[in-house]
Amino acid sequence: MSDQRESYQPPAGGAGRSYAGASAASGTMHYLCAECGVKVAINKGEPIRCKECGHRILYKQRTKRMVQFEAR
Amino acid sequence: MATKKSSVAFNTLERENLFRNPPKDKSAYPALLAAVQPHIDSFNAITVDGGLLDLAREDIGIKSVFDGTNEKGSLGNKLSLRVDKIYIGKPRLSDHRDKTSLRREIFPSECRERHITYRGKLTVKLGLRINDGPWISQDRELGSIPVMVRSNRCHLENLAPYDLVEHKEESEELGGYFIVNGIEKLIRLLIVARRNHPMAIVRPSFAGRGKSYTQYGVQIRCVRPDQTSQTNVLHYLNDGNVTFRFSWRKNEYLIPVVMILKALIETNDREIFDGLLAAKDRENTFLTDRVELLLRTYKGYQLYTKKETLQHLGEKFRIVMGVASDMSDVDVGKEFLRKIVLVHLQDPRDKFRMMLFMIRKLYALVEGSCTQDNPDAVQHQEVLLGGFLYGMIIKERVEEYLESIVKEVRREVRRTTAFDFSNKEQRTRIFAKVNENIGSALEYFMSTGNLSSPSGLDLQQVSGFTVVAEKINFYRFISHFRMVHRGSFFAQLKTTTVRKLLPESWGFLCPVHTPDGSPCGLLNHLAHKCRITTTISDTSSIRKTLASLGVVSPATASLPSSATMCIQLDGCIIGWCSPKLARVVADTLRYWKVEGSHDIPLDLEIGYIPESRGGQYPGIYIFSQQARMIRPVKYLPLDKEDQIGPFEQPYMSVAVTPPEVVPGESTHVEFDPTNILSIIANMTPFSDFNQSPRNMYQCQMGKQAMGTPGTALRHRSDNKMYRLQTGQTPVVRSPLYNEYGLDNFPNGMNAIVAVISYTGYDMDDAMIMNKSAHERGFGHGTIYKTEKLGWAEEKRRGGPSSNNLFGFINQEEIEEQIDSIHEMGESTDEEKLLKKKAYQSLGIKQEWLETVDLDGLPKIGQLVKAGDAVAVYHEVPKESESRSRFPQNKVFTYKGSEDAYIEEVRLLGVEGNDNKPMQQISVKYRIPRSPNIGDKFSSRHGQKGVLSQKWPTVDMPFTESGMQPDIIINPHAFPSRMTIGMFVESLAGKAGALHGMAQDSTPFRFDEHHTAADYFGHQLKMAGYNYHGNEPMYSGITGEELHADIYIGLVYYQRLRHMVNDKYQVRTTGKISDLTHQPIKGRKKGGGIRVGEMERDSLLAHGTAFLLQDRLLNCSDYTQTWVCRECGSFLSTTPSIKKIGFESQVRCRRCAKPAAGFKAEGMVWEDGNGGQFVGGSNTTVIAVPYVLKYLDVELAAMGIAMKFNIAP
Amino acid sequence: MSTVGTLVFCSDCGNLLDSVTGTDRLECEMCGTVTKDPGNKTVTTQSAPSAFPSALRLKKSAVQSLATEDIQTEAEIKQTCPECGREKMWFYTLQLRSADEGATVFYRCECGYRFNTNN
Repeated sequence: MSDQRESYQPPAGGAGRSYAGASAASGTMHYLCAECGVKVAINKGEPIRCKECGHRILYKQRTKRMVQFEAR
Repeated sequence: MATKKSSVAFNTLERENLFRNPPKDKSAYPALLAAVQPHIDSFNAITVDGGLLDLAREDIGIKSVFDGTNEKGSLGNKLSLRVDKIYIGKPRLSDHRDKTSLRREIFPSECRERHITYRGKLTVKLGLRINDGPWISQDRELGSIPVMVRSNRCHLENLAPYDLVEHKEESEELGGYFIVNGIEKLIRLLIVARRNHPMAIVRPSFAGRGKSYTQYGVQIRCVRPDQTSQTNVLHYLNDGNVTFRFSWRKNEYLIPVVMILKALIETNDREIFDGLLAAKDRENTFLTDRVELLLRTYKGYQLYTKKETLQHLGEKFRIVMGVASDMSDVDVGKEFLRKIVLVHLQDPRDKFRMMLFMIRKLYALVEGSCTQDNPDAVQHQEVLLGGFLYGMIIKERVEEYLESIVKEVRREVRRTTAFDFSNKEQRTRIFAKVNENIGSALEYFMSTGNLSSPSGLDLQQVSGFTVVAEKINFYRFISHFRMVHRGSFFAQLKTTTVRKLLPESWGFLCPVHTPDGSPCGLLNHLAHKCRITTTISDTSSIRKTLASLGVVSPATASLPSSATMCIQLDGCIIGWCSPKLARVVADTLRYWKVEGSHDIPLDLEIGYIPESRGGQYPGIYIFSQQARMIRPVKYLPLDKEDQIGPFEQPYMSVAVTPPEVVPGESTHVEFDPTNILSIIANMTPFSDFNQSPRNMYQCQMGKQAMGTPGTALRHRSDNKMYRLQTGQTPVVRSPLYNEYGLDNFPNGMNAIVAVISYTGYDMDDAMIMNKSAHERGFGHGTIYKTEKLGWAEEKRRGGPSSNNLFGFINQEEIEEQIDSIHEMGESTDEEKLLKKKAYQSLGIKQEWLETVDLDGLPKIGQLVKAGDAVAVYHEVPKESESRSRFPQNKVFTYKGSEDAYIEEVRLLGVEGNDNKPMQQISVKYRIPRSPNIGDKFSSRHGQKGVLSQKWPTVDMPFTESGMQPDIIINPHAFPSRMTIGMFVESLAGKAGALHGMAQDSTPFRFDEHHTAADYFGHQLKMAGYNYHGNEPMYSGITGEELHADIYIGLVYYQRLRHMVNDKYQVRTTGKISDLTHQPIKGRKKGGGIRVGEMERDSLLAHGTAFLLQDRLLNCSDYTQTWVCRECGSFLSTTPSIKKIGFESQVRCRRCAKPAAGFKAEGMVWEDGNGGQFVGGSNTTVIAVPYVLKYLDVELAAMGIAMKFNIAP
Repeated sequence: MSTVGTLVFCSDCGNLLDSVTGTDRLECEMCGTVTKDPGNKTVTTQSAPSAFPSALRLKKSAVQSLATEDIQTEAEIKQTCPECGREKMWFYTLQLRSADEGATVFYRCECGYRFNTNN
C-alpha cells in the first residue's frame, strides 16, 4: 500500500529522447503486413513485401516515444 | 412488400451484437442492398452468360477485308473477322509479372490503399476465316477494364458481413461503384426517352430544318437487345409529305418514308393506303389528301419493287454503313434496314406495321385529334443505367478494334502487295501494330467521365457521366446511388420547363430531394421504394392470352372496322381491338398479372390510354424490358401487391390512404404515403409540418454534415475524410432509420435547444453554444487527409533516371553519433555553433529528427507543423561520384498550414517488380477540428447557422431543474421560415428523453383532430413538465426569473463541414500577378479578396473617396513611372546611358531629334542601341496604376496611341 | 380498278394511278394494266369546328378562358390600414429575395394604399 503513495515517476530513459529505438543495433524497422498482420523486418532499399503472404502494403507501427496531448 | 415494419426503438443490444458478431450468412439490412440494386444488376447483366456482351458481339457481326486491289475486277482473298466471346476476368495479379505470390486475387481494399484501379482483364476470342475456310480462333488480351465492386466480377460478391470485415471492408459494404486510381467513382443514372414508344413531338426547331418542314414530328428511341439505341424521327412537311430522319456516326440523314416502307416488305400503294387509313378515316379528306400526296410524290423515284428499293438504298448508303466490298447493293440495303430502321424489331413485317402506326400518329397530331406527348413527363422517360452504358462503350470499342485491324490490313496490302492471310507471322505483325488497349480507354472514361465515341451513343451529352462517390458522410454516399440526372445538355437550356416537378412523378421521383441552385429540378432522386428493372420479363404467353380475350391479331388480312385501338408490346404491334374491349383487356390483364395466373409477369407495365377528344393517342402499350421505373402499390380487388410504372400511373386511380378509397373508382391504394419520398427526405422529422423549401435544404445539408463516413476508416486512404467523434443517435427518428441501419453512421448530436432572445449574438442565423458543452466534446470532429509521397515511376528515354530511396543516406552514421550530438550542450554560442556543425556534417537538420524516424519515415502519433520534415529521402549515388561532400539528405515537408498529427503511414510496394525498393508511401494526417466560432451548424429543418459565441455556462439561462441549454437559437429564425417541424421535434425529443424512448417522426401521422402538440404534450405532462414545452427559466447573469416561459427541448443538431479554418483568407502584401501587378486571387496562393464594383459603390456612397483610392491604387498596383510632358506618352520614355560625369536620365524618344553635328557634351544623350539624340528632356515621374501602362501597351498593339496631359 | 375517294388504284398490282392524263385511259406503270377512268367525283371536306374561331361566339359560349391577370388571387387578412383605418386588407406574396429568405408580402387596401414587408 505504501509504495502506491510514491509520486509518479516518468518512464526511465525518457529524459533525453533516445533517437535510436528498438532498432538501434540492427538498423532495421519492423512493419506490420496489411493482410496477415505479421511483423516484417525491412531494411533500407529492400522491396516491400510481406514475408509470409507476399502482400505489398505494410503499415508502420506507432512510435515508442511519448507524445503529449492537450486535453482540449 | 414489407410485411414486417421496423419500429423506431433504439435496438441497442441488437446493434451491439451485430457489431461484435457480424452475421455470417447475409446482411442485416436488405433495404440498403435494394437501394444499390440498379447499379449492380445492370453491371451483372453485361457479363452474365447470354448477357449484353454476348448480344453485342452478335450484333457486331462479321467484318471482312480483301487482299486484292480490285483492279482486274477480283477482290482477292477474303479475311473475315468476328468476335466469338468477350471475357472480363476478376481482378488478379498477372501471371507473367509476378510469379511468386500465393494469393493472386486483388481486393478492393488493396486498390484503395495503393491508389490503383480495381480492374479485371478483358480478353476477346477472335474468329478468323480465310475465304470460306474453317474458323480459327485466337485469344487476344485487350488490357484491363475497371470492374464494379460487389458485382459478379468482384471478389466480394455475395460475401456475408463477417467475411467482408475479414477483407477489410465495411460490414455493410454496398458496392455499385468503381475504384479508379484509388478514388471511388460511379456512373450516374441518366434520364432518357422511353424506349420503343413513338412519341408525338411539337418542337419549333423542327421547322428550321428545311423549306417546308413543320414543327410536328414523331420520335421513337429504339433499343436493340444489347441496349444500344437508335432514334428515328418522322417529320411532317407542309405539303403532307413525311420524311424519316436518323443519325449515323454523328451525321443526320433524311429519307422519304415511303421508300422505307417499300424496302421493308414487298408492298404496293394500295396496301400502304389501307394500312394508313382505317374504314372511318376514308371520309376524312384531311388524311386522304395527305396520303395521296405522300404516295404520288414517291412516284418520282420510280422504284416499284422491294428489290429495286433495297438496291437504291444500298447504293446510297454503302460507304456510310462501312460494309464489306463484296456485299451486293441489295444486301447493303438489308443491312441498312437491320441496323437503322426500328432496330428493336427483327421481323420486317413488324417494322412495316410500326412504321404505318407512326405515320398515322403523326397525321393525328397534325390534325389535332391527338395532343403532343410531353418529353419532360416521367411517363415518357426511363433510366439509362450505368452498367448498360458501360456495356455499350465496351461494344463500341471492340467494334472499333475489329475495324482497326481491317484498316491495318488494308494499309499493309497497299504497301506490300504480297500479303498472305494464311501466314501466321504476318498476322501477328498486324496485331502488334493495332492499338489493343481498350482497358485504358475505359479507365479514361471512368476517371474523367468524358465519352469519346464515334457515334455518340445516341446521347445528347459527351461528358459528365461519372461522379466521385464522395464519402463525406453516409447520407451523401447513399444518395449518389439514388440520384438521376436529366442530362447536362438540359443544364444549358434557358427554358425552365425541364426543371418543373410534374404530378406524374408521384412515387417515382422524390418531390423534395433536389438541390437548389443550378442543378435544381435536373438532378432528382428516386423515391425510396422505386425500383428499376434490369431484366426482361417473360412475355411469351401474352399473345396467346390476348387472343383468348378477343384481340384481333395484326396478321389478319382485313381488320374489322371496330378494331381501332392498337395493342403494342415493347413497340411491336400485337393486336387490335375495339375501344370498349380495350378497357376490359387492360383490366383483365392487370387482374391476372397480380394474381399470378396465365404466366403474366408482375413487373409488366400495362399502359392503357383511353380514347379522348384531343388527348393522348389511345392504345394499350405494354412494356416488359429493362430500365423502367416501377414501384409497389396495393391492388384492391385482390389485396395483393402490384407493381406499376410511370406510363400507366396517370390513367389509374391510386388512393393515398385507405380512408380515401372511393369504392367503384379506386383500383389501388398506396402502402404508405411516405413511399413518395427518397431515403434522405424520409429522415427529416415531421417534414409535413415544414415549408417545403426548408425540407429541400435539409436534404442538401444532411449530405454535408460531419458524420461517420464508414467503419473501416483504418483501411481507407481518401484524400479528405470528415469524422464526428461524438455522434449520437437521434431521439426523434423514423422507422426507416432502423431499416437502413443508419445508426451505424451517426450524423449529429442531440442538443438541448432553447428558443430565446438572450445574448444578442445570435442575429441573422447565428447560434450560441454552451461553452461547457463544447468542452465536454459537443460537435468535436476530426479531418483525415492523405498524402502520397514518393516518385511515380516514369521511364524517361535518354535522360538520367533519378534513383531515389527513402531513408538517410548515412543511416548507420547517424545512429551511432546522434545520441552524443544531441547531448552536446548549448550554453555558449561556441557550443551552439559546434552543435550546428555536427548536425551539418551528418547532412541533417536537428529539427528533422523530431518528426522523422531513423528509417526516414514519419513517426506515427507525432505532431507536425507547417514546414516540418515528414519524410527523408536521398539519391542513390552512382559509382562514378565520390562521396567527398557532406551526405545529402533531402526532405518532404508538410505543406498544410494547420498542425496535424501523423495518423498512419503505409509503405506501398509495386506490383510485379520484385527488385524495386519502396517508391511510394502514403501518409494520413489527423487534424482535430473542435468547433470554433465561425463553424456552421444546422438542425434537421434547414435552420443553418454559424456558431457565434461559446457562452460560458455560468451566464446561460437555467431551468428550475438546473439545466442549461446547449444551444440557443434566435426566435426570429422561425416566423418567415415556417419550420414548425423543429418545434414539434423539440417537444418529441424532450418527451422521448424524459421517458427514455425513441419517438416516431414519420410525416403524415397527425392531423387536425389528432394533433402532434396534443400527443407529445401529454407525454410531457406525464413526465411532470409543461404541456406546451415551455419552462420557467432564470437568467444566468442577473439570477432573476425571466418574465416569460421559455420554449426548451431536445433537437438533433448536425455539424456541417464548412469550417472557418478552411475559409479564412488574410493578406497584407504578397504575391502579385505578372501581367497587371495586382494581387493574385486564391486562398491557397495567399491572394487578396476582390473589392468589386458593388463594393466600390458602397464606398462611394459613404463618401470615403480616399479609402477607395487606397484600396484600388495604393494597396494594389501603385507604380511611379516616367512620362513625357510634351507628347504625353508612357512608351516613348527611355533611360539614357550613363556617361562619366553625367547621371543616367530619362528622355523621351519621340521628342528627341537624332544628334547631328555639334558635340555639346551635356546635350547629347545615347540610347541603348547606340543612337545619339538631342532633346526630349521634358519628362517627369507620375504615379499611376500599373494596369494603365498595360492598357497603353495593348492599345498600342492595335495602333491606338494614348496621350496624357500632365499638369502642373 | 379500285377507287377510294379520288384515288384510283390498279386492280392487279395495287399501284396508285395518275389522276389526270387527259384521256380516258389510265395506264399502270408497273404492270401495264389499263384501267378506265371512273370520272370526276365530288369530295366534301369539312373543316374542324375549331379552325375558324369567332370572338363573339366565344364570349357567348359556356366555356370561357381567363388570362392570368384577370383572376383574383389576393387573399384577405385582418390588418388595419395605416392610412384610412379600414380593418381588412388584401395581400399577396412574391418570392423576390433569395430562396433562403422568406417571401415579400404586399398589402393593398381599398383606399389605394399599398405597403410591403420582408420576412
